[in-house]
Amino acid sequence: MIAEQTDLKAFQNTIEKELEIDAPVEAVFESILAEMNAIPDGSGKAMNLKLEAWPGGRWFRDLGEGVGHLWGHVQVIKPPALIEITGPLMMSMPVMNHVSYRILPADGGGSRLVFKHRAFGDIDPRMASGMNDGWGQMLSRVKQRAAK
Amino acid sequence: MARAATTLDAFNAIAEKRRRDVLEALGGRRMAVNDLTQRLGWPQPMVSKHLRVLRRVGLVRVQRQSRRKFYEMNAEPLRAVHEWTRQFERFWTEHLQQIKQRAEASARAKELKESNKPKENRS
Repeated sequence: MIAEQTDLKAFQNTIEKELEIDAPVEAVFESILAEMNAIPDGSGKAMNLKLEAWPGGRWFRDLGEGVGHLWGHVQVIKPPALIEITGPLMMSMPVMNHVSYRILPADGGGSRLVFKHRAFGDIDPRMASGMNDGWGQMLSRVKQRAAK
Repeated sequence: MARAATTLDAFNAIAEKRRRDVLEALGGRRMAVNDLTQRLGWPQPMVSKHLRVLRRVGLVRVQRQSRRKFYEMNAEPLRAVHEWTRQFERFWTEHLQQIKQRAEASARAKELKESNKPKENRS
């Protein structure tokens, strides 16, 4: 029965962030695309993420020889104002994420980046806790690199 | 298809909006069912039903005071949800800072290039 399936085992959450950037919207949009390809892994090396910047394009980790991980698809792309991604991101779980980067012009030729990440799905709390160590290691390496 | 038991863990329990409403209504207070019923504007059996589920997963504690029961939230089982959010917060903060640095460096480089261009002689 459909009624039974509405009470799914599900986690849902939203993260919202806003950032003032001292650069025009076009430069911010280009930087978003560049950084989506440059996210580092736990050792600080690029994860070989590739973004196909068109509607339906993939955002995926390309490890070569047909190996990789799909992070999502481009749901909306409207340069230089908006890009939206839907997909599992880095999670190997039955989960769906919607990530949006909205760029608005601000006073003085700058921009305001409005970022939103909404997630829902069957996320094992033990795995969620386990992510703590992974990200912690990644961040400490980033910090070490930055301090050099 | 059998649905997952709502009492399996905190994630399941808070998947239902009404149970999140109960937790919000409780906040940091100790409340009797009657007070909760009044605050939420729901029938008392509905409030009790959701309190039962929240108690089973440990999100709500009950204390007896003479003949009355008082309920309060226990946030500890939500730690996993909080951890998940915290990790993504950090991840996105780092990512957005990289975007900001790249965009501002690019804008500065462009300005510098423009200012170094030879001026057109309009005379």
